[in-house]
Formats: sequence, structure tokens, C-alpha cells
Amino acid sequence: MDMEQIKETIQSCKHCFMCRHACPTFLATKLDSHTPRGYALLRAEIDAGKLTWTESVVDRFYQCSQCGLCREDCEYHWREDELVRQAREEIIKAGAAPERVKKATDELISRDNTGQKNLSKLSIPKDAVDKQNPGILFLSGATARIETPEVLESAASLMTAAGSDWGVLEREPSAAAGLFELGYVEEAKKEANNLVDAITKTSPKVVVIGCAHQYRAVTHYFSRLSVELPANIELLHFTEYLERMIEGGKLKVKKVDASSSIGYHDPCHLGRNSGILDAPRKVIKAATGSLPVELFHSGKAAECCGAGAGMFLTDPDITEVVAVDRLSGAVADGVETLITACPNCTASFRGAAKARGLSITIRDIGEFLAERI
Amino acid sequence: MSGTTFYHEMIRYELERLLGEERVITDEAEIEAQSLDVWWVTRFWKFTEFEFPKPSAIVFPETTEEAAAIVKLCNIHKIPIIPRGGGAGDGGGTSALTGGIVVDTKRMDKIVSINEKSLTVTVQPGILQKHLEERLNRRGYTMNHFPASYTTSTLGGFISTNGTGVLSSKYGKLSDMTHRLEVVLPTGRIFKSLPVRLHSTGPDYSRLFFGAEGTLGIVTEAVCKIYHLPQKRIFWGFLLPNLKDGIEAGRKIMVGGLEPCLMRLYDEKDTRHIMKKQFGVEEDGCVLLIGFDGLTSIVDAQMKEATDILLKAGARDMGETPGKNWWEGRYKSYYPPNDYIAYPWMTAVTDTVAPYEDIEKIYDEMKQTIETDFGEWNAEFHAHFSHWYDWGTSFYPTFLIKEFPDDPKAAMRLYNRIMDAAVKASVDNNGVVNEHHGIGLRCGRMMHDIYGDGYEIALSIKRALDPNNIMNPGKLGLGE
Repeated sequence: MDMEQIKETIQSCKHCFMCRHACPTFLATKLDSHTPRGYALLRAEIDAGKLTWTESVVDRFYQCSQCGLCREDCEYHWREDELVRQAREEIIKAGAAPERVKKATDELISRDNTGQKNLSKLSIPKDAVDKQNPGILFLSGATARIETPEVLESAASLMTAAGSDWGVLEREPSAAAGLFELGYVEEAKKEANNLVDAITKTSPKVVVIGCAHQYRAVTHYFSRLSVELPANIELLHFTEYLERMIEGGKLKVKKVDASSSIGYHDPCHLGRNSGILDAPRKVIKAATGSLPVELFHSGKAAECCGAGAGMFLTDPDITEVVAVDRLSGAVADGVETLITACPNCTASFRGAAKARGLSITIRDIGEFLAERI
Repeated sequence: MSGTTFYHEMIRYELERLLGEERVITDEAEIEAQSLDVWWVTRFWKFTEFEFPKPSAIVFPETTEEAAAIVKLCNIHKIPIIPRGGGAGDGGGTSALTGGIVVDTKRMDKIVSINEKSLTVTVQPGILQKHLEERLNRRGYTMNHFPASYTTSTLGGFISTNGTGVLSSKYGKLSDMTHRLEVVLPTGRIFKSLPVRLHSTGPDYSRLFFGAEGTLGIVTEAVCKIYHLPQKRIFWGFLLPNLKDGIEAGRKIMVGGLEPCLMRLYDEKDTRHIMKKQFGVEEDGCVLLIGFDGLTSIVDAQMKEATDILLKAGARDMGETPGKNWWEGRYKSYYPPNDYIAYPWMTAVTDTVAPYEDIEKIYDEMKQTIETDFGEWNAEFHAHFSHWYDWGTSFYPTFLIKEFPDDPKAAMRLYNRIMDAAVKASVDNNGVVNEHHGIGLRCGRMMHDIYGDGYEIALSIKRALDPNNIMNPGKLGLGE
């Protein structure tokens, strides 16, 4: 989005109250400065010289998960998420980024190393690591190596069960999405280039991505960073891969009785922002015999888990409240087991459920399926 | 809140002691974000050299007891309180005209209970209407309150302006929808209305607070009527030859005992706009959208009766599409780019309600005065009739001036002159402005003229309940 489009968005949104009901951060804090209108108005005042990037203003701009639900709710789909992201670039240029954001940025990058260290402790076949010319290169994202290793392990077991020739990167550069969303464009570009280099070195036929944020980065952000994957490599999200394996008869699922208490949470970057809605539902249906319970807000209108745009690092308290809101809605919809398809959602929900003692079980879609193979 | 830094800090400490630091907000980000509403004046002045005064703090109680403690503290120190829900009113009702503390109710957003026998919901006031409705829908119920600000405003805000939604012709205003209120009075004491509204145990004092716009207290809980989700809900479109025939057909439908949930009659100007926008055709006349809901057999029978009345009035049956499209896209025009109310155009709504015998004359005079007396500014006027009763109806007029004086004070004077002219057209002919948008600052200065000497009753009640005049001062013409 260029500056003209940003200005048009500011003009349109600064007076409009309509989408506030959808904003997960606003629902957590009830602050008008956390609404899309609030962001646009504050930005307009900064552009008009009536405000500067003071601490409270900057704080609010870093407490948006860029889930895009305001854009989805808007009849004209004004891109407030991009307005906020672009404002962060301005904040960084002005040297006004908060310390906690700088720290989160460093941590996002260092998580690549932590993930590398952790990989050796997981049940991953050694010959899969940095395997050359694999049929499939699986990108897990850092969270699946650090907070939810069982997600990566179950993905590995499923790919093996399907008879796929697969590999993983020993060190997976996975911070591009978070860095880009936090406004650190050059750092995001460097990380994106590192990932493309690593992928290119292993030369896979297909890249399967298990993390919705990594998927969003590769499919949407890379082009904006002028970074490209080699054209001959096919790209799939893990749920698309699973759907393909099930439909092709490569993964034999032992069906269990249909349950009316299994729900599915669409990760923002997978459902709303990438349009992958059917594949995870078909996979769950294959595992249970029936489609999952549709949450009151689902599909492209699904609410956020609170982890987006690095908020789980910069503002974990808000992340937790957002996650609790989403889980409380699921419980009200009669869900006892909530399946999702992004390690960040899984980690966010599990953390919130544990902290607040909520009686709901959170399962990653691969984990759920692996138990039924 | 005037005084020294020491005094500010003392009050802030006291508020933090009551609520915790995280619920006492004094930063400029939030104060700026709350600094305008949907009123043209707050929007227009925002980026000029003029600004409305700002509050010193915004506080977020979560319980009635916390709200009462805040009010007690402010009453002792004579600090103005501005109760706030969504803050999306169109009259400056939540502006901190004399500074003070905003008591933001949005953290009071819990549904306390749903009574499935008597069909009521007990709820805190800070819940957004959309969230309340969705929570009810999950259980198979609805409140049937769908105003334009459905997605963004709170139940407490609707109570405080005595709002109406688009299905009000059947389900009424908030005062019809609400059985019981709990209110923190300006002294900090808590008023609870009796368990039943329709009684003879003295007046139903809860009625004082519908439309009081926070000048008499803070609504902290309400018991509202709910309904089962309707078995059937249909909408239909008709094209009437002219406005006069449309109003008369609508009257016959309402006084004849039919209960449309929706009836919207657009004047000729609005109709031309709608026909061109929705159907790409130029056509004269007045579009009337009508809807019924409830049990299928009753809906079908009522729709047949209404159709007979409309066809006899010379209407052309436009089928289901116009009504259905309107219902499904009823909020679309409120998202930018807006249809009529687009900033920076000078606009206002002077929603007017009157008995059937007077409504047409009010419409004619209001249209005449705006289009003629303000012709030099190319003032436009258009309206639709959208809330119908068995004794009268209301119309929703909007005036619009695209080019007005650059000088903010001159623009404000022009705005006030148009408002005066529009309100006079209504008041002189037995009408009432407003029907559902509330008064705030926009029309507050007119209240003494509208009521005459009778407004003494309002001033007396205000003095009695709020001796220190701390509750939303400057609104409703009750004095600063």
C-alpha cells in the first residue's frame, strides 16, 4: 500500500466507529485508542502536527495483532492493518520504538537459533535434517520448535506415515512475518532472503509450511520485500498437504465417532488472510467422520488468538485476554476440544487456558490427526 | 477538574485506589481517541484551531459498586462526570464541556443472566449491542434492537438517549424494551426500579433515566425484553405514487392493527437516489419497504393484508429484492465512503416525530425552510419515514451543505441557524425533535424554547438529584 492509499485509509477510518466490535485488542482493553478509528485519528493528528509519537501513542500502535478482522468486517475493506503496520515503520524511523518492541525484535531473530538447538532434542529423524533434494521441505516456524514441539513431531510422524520423502531445515529463518509486521522492513527482508537461500540450498520439490505466519510471509510479504522463492517450487500449507495425502489414500485415517464438541479455530493468517478454509475442515472430517462445530465467528470472520504481529512477545497480557475471549466464545458454542492449524494459536490458547483454568482442550490439527493414524 | 497539580494527583490517587492503576487512564492517546463523536461539529472543529475541552481522566469501573464509589468521590470534590458508552452519539453528549472525569462503562459488559421463562436478559450497560445480540442468538433469542450504531454503541448509550432501532415499529424504543433499571445517582446512592415496570406503586421512576443522557446518573444494569428468534422474517418493496399516498397507506397499516416490524417510506429525493443506486433506473414516486416477522402463519396473513392496503393506494409491487437487499446491507451506508453524511460536508439529522395529522405539514415546512432559506448554500434536504406507531410516525431528515464558510465560527453559526429553522418547523406544528438521536449539546440550547416554562420540571429534578451539578454538565440545556 503506497502513501496515497494510507492517507485515503486515514481519511476514511478516522471518523468511522463501525468495526470497533471486531477488534480483539479493543475487546481486551476497551480503549478507543485501540480501535481502528482510534489508530486512524491518532495518525491523522500526527500528520497534521497536532500530536507526536509520544509514549502512549506509540504503545497503542504496537498493541494491534494485525489480524485483519477490522478489514474483513468493513464493507469497503479499508486496510487498517496495513495502516498500523506502516505507522510502525514511521515510528522506527522517528527513533521512537519502545524498548519492549526492540527486545521482541531481537528475540524473534534469536528464536531461529533457539529453534535450531531444540531440534536436536525432538523425535525428528536425523536424516531429515537439511536433507538435500527432498520431495517435501517442511517449515515449522519457530514456535513449533520452542513452545509446541509436539506440533512439529506430529507433523513429522504424519509425513513419514504418508510415505513422503521429507526434510526440515536445521536452522529455519522464521522471523520475517513478525519483523515485517513490527515495521522492521530491512530486518524482515534479510530474514526472508536467508530463508529463501536455505530453501534453495536444499532444493525441494514442494515446500510445506506448518506455521500460518510463515505461510503469510512467504505468500504475501515476500513480494513486498522483493524476495522470491524459486518458481519451480510448489508451496502448500500443511493442511493442504494433509488433505492431499488423505484424498490420495496415502494417509489412512482410523475414523473415530463423530463428536459434536470438536470445534475448529481458523488462524487469521491462514483463513481470513490466505483463504485456506476448506482444507482443515476436510482433514477434521476425515478424522472424525463429521465437520467440526463452526464457532459463532468462524472462517474469514474468525476472531484472533492474540499472538499476531509479535504481540505474544511485546504484550503478552493483552494476548492472554484476547485468547481467553476467543476460548470463552468457543466454550459458549459447546466446544470441548478446539483444533487449530498454527503453532502460534496453539501456544497462545494453551497458555490462556492454563492461566485461567478454562476447561477446553487445545489440539493442533496434525497432533489430532496423528493420534488417529 | 480544575485546581493544582497536587489536587489532580490526589484525585488520581484516590481513583487508582478504587480501581487500580490500569483502569485510570490519563494518557493523551486515549483522551485524543475519545475526543470526537459522530456530530459534525466535533469532527469539524477537531482539525481547526478550536477544540472541545478534554477530561482529566477516563476511568473504567466494572461493577455497580465501583461506579458508585467514583460518583461519591466526584460528588464530594464537585468534579464533573461524563458517563460514556460507545461515544458514538451525534450531538456532543459525551463531550467533557467543563472538563472532569469520563466514566467509561465499556468494561461493564457482562450478561448477568438470561431468564428463559419470562424472556428477559439482565445485563450491564457497557456491552456493545452487537455482542449482546450475538450472545442472545447463540441461545436462540434476540433483542430485536438494530439501530445504525448496532456494531459500535452500548446498551447504556441507547437507554440514555432512549434510542430506537430499525424494527422499532413493532418492538419499540429502549423505554419499551426495558423492564427494569439500576442507576447510580449523582450522590453515589444506587436506585433500583421495582421488579415489574407496569405497576401502580407510585410512578415508575426508572422512566426518568430514558433519554436523560447521563445528566441524572449512570445506568449500571438493565433488565431487557428478549424474544425467540423469529420463525419467519420477510421484507418487501413497493413504489407509491407520492409521499402523501405513502404516509396515508402507512397510517392505515398501523392503525388497522397490523404489526410490521419494519416500514420505511422514502421521500421523492431519496427514492430517486435509491432507484438509481440499487436498480440503475430513474423513477419517480416513493419507495416503501415493509417487513413482518414472527410465526409464519401470522407473518403471511399480515403481509397479505398490508399488500392489499398498499395496492389499493396505487402502489406497484417491487417484489422481495429491495427489502431483502436493504435488510442485508442495512449497515453498509454507514461505512466510509458514506452516502449522505460524508465528512467534511456539513450535515445533521433532525429526526422528528408527530401525530399523523401533523407529520406531513412538518415535513413540508422543514423541507421548504432548508431548501429555500438556505438556498444560497445549496442546502439539500432528504428524508425517510422509518418509525411508525398507531398514533403517528417519525421522519428522519438529513440536511446537507457541501460548501460552507471556511471560518469555523461562521460555519458553526450557519449550522445553528439551520438547526433552529428545522426545529422550529417541527415545534410550531406539534412535532418533537428528536425522535431517537438525543439532545446533547447539539440541541441542548433549544430545550427551554421547546418546553417553555414547563422545563422548570426538568431543572427542578436535576437540582434535587444532582445538587452539585456534577453529572454530564452542560447537556440537555440543564446548565453548566
